Amino acid sequence: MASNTTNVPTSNRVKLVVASSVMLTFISFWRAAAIVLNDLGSSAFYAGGIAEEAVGKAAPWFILGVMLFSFAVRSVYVESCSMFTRGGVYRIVKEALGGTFAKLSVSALMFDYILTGPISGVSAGQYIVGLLQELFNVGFQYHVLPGSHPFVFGPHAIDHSSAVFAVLVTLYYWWKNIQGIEESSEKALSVMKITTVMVILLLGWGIFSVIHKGSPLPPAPIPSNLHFSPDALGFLKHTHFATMLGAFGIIMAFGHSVLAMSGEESLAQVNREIEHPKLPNLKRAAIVIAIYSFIFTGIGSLLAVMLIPDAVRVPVYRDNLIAGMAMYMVGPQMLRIAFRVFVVIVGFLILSGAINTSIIGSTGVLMRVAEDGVLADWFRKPQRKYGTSYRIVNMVAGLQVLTIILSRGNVIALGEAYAFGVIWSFTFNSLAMLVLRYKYKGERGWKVPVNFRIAGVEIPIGLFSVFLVLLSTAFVNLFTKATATISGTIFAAVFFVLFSLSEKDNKRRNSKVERQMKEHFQLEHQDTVGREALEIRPGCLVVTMRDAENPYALRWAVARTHTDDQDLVVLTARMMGMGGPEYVDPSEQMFSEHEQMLFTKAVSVAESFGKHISLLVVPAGDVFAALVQTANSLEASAVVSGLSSKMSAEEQAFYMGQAWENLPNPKRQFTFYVVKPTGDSVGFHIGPHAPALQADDVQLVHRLWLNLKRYPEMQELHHRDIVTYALTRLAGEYARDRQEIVKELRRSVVEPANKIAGPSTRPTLDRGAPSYPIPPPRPPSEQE
Amino acid sequence: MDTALAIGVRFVETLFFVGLAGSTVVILLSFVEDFSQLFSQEDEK
Repeated sequence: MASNTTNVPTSNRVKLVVASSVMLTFISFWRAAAIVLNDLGSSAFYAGGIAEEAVGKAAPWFILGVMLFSFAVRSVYVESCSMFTRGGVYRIVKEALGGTFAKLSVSALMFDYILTGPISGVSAGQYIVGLLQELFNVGFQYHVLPGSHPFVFGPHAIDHSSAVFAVLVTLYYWWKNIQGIEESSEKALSVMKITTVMVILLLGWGIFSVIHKGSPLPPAPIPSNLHFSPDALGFLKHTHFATMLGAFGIIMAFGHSVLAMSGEESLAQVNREIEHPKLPNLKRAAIVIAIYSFIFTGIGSLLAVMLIPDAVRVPVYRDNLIAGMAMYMVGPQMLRIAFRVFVVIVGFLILSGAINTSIIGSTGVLMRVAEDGVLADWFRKPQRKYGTSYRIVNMVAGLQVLTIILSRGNVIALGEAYAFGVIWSFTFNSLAMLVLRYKYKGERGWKVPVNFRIAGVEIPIGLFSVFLVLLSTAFVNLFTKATATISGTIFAAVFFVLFSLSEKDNKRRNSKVERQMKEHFQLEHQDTVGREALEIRPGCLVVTMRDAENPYALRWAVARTHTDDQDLVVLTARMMGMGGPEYVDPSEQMFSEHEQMLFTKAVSVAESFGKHISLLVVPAGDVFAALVQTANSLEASAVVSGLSSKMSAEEQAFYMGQAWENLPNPKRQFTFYVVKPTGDSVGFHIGPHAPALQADDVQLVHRLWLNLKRYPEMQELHHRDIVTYALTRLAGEYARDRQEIVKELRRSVVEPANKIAGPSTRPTLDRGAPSYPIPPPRPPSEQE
Repeated sequence: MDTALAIGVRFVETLFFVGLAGSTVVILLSFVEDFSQLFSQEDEK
């Protein structure tokens, strides 16, 4: 890709280089699969109950069918991810179908994402309240608690308590997102490990119980076995047609089960972060996700119907079906209750994680459309203390809390609405992909099979088939999901109007901002960051800047830098949330008023000191990755950052170090300075460096050298040989007995009372040594 | 009205079941390809 210079340089304007490639940290396909499964796997906790309430006892077959079909939907997402597009659902659909469809598509996706939070939170609440009820009953049964047995919460009490729980968890994650927590792949992997233990126990014990009890399979998925609830008939409820559904009933049942594959869209969100080789790893992640969710959600729902008796399955366990399975396994009651507790813990972890994912996902989508100029600039203003897009987070969390309150904790109502968002967002995506087969001529790594060519024209049979299933299901859902159709249409209409008005307003504002930017700055777009673009020398100083009102880190750096000898680069990371692109086209990089203020302030600070600076904007998925990658590309000798509002200077340095370790070779070390608002600073070496030895340590090495030098064969000995020998010996001992070395090291580092500096462990030299004592070695923590 | 409804219903049913048949082929082919990719050491050319 060639670089694209937007403006002709003039002498009085500060150079502002804008990078197009997004700076990211990459994850393995296992971690990517874990992130998606945290969302997709969570639907196993409620999809079975919702589907059975709607279509009757044959529901598990439809869940299994949907999970099988999700293999095909996964293929569509793999194809969309394999295209080198500018990313984001809005961009893809806009390119294929135009702006109006793109706005509708984003609205449907938002409906899906927003509802993921409430349904997950309420479902987690249902599992917890159900468990409490069970524990109370056991307490009464064994006279541990005073009172009567059985103890039953009223239906409204369960729903309302679940709603309160969901609101509290949503508010917790709202605050965490305001502070700017990242979705950690490490945490997702840990949750999936514990979930896998539960799934193995659930399926293993479940299959054993089914065989032991001789439980029959659910009735076959044929029209005569479908028993729709009045709500599941939707607008058809009072029509003559409702009495003679036939094969149409199969589509209706399929539509009521479609929420089992909700979360599949997260695959497109994590795609950007998957490590090289991208496409094979994406396909690996996709197949792991599909198999896992088929087994967990599909087989799990089937076993639930086989194990839990009809009399209690829907009335008691509809909203906590897996907990019900635990209670009807073969085995002692206490073991079953213990397993139920485990199920609830896992459910809480995965479902509350899904709330966080939904806030992050919704925020990511809205940030992306805001960057595309479809959401008012007002939403992009960062939070003063934490730098997050707090207005978007507030809106997302506000809508989620409102949804929970309106649903009053009713999982069925939430599930209905959720399915609307899921099916329409999948349908728009597959339609866009179908159209792009003809419109998009760029790079495409993979195509959904089967494809034929007739007279030179490609016929995408496979993709068209998937689209037909999605479209017909979405269409039927319009008639059979009354609440979802009404609420979804209102939601989509509101968002559509919001996007349309924002777009109009942004166009007006952006032309003004762009004109002013061109007046004040010499804008230059580059694919990647390099010294040549900025015209700087090696060993520069990179300063991060986020807050135009309080640029103390920049002031600190400018005051200490002689820009005649050392170049100073002011870096602004443009955060591209989850689901953002890997590459941002120069023509699409719009500057917000906030960014304009930031750059103007940076220049005025530098001018007040009579210094010259260069400005650099990098799109980033991870701020630390952006900093180390930029520092490495610019061959910087130091990076200066203000103290974070949410972590200590040491934590900032730790994350910088971690990002540096993930950098590919060649990479160079630099010093990282964290400047506090008071003007004090702390410096950290990033990358391998000589440890800052204390005078005592140097003395010890020197005395050892003096002792050893007395031997005739040691005449060539140097100080460094002693250090090398000591380290080699430590490495050898560590290889032989890791535990022992770790134990000793911990004693010396963590437990000051047991430091090896104690008199009993003080090393001694032979009597022929010089007549001054060797001081005790100091623990490493004090050396650094 | 009933005739129009019946035609509409048959049309949607046809779309769905034809799509389902095609999707089955997609599922089989992509599953075989991706499953072998999962255990393959061969990476992107």
